[in-house]
Amino acid sequence: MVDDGIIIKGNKDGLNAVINFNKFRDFDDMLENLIKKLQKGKKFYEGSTLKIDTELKFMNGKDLKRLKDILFKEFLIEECILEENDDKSSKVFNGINEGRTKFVRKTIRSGQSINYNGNLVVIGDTNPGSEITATGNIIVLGRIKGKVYAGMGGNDRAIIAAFSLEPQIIQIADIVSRSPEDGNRPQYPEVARIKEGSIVVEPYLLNKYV
Amino acid sequence: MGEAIVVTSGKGGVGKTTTTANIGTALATMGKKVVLIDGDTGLRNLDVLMGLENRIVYTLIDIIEGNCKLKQALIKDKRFPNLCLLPTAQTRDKNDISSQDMLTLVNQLKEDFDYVIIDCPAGIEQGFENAVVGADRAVIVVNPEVTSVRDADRVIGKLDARGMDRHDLVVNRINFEMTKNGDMLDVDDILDSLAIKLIGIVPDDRNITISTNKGEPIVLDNNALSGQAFKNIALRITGVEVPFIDFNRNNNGLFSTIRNLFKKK
Repeated sequence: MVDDGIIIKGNKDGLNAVINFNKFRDFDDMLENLIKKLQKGKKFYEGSTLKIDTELKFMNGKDLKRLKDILFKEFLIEECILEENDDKSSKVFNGINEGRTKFVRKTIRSGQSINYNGNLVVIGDTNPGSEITATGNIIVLGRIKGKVYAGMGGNDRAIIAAFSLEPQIIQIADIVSRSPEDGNRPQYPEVARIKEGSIVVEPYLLNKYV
Repeated sequence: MGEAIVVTSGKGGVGKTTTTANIGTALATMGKKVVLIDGDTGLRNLDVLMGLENRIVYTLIDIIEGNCKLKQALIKDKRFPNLCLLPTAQTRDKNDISSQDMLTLVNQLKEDFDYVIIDCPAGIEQGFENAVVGADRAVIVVNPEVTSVRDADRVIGKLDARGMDRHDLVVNRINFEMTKNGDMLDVDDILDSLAIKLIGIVPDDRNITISTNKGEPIVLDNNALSGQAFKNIALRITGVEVPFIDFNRNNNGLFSTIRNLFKKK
């Protein structure tokens, strides 16, 4: 069988779909493929219980709701159970020094979110109330004022760099932090990375400003 | 074929309806054929601002439901024969209109008028969708407050997602005393965070309240500074380049000259 990222099989608990996110560009790509797959035997899935094994970190609340809406309304699935894929062999994105990169040439405004399995470069600002997520590095040629999540999937070597780094929430791998509340912001670009188990923010060139 | 402009903001009470009425009236004084659509079904105000509330017989909902013809629902303005208002129903709500109906209606109106100006309700639900669906460009109204700027940012994002990239910013109700003291966001702060084209700055003006209550748009008052500001916005909408009014002209003392020198840096 060709491994296209989604495997649907039956076992003693019922139907089981195993989704491998590394095979897809993003959530939408995965969803499209899943729908295509289920479409083939639409009647068959009616009233059934579907267990989905996948890496939940790649889905946010909105994605989950969309997935469930489609399963319940389109395919009339009775119940949907989501389970973390405990397959330890699933690889952490390893393109920190070079690799898959998405370029976004616009300002990310409040309420918008960008989610990418790879490195992310934004040419524009990210405004308060926005969210950007990447499994690799995040570079913003502008201001970061929203939420920013880099190295999702456990890559603790990922960095976040911006001309002005003032996020609401910053996360690299499993470590979360938020901006200090004193108002003095440096005028130079900054880089955030993990150092000894916590996020540190430094000038983009260490010797230039310290 | 005319142009449809939606006046929106996200947040309520920033002056969308006032802006709609004044830009519309100003465009009419220039001889353009203008129709104003009230998009705030259930909470209509535009008719009051225009002083036309007693003339409403049919509404936008009657057209959509086929109770009357488009021409029957249009109300001619008291002052300008080339200015019309299309009122909406007060006894219905925004979910009674579908985006498709609204699109057809706006396209129909664009054939007969130079400018179709749609007054968008606050919020980003069905009312917003309906107001935006037929529009070619948007005028975004903000007040110099963080809350208003935040909501405007969300709305601009929504417009971008629909592929509407012609949006202009009106900063309404700015108090120059307060911005000078640093107590209020100034225009540069707002432009810095929203990063869209500025089309007008309207000063805070008590005469607006009076004009609203009288049903006489402020642009008809030749002495009001805010009226002048709205006229300039209307001119810029037609494509004429007008310099921004310098609201600080009375304060050209030594101190502000020195400060301006520093600002330029």
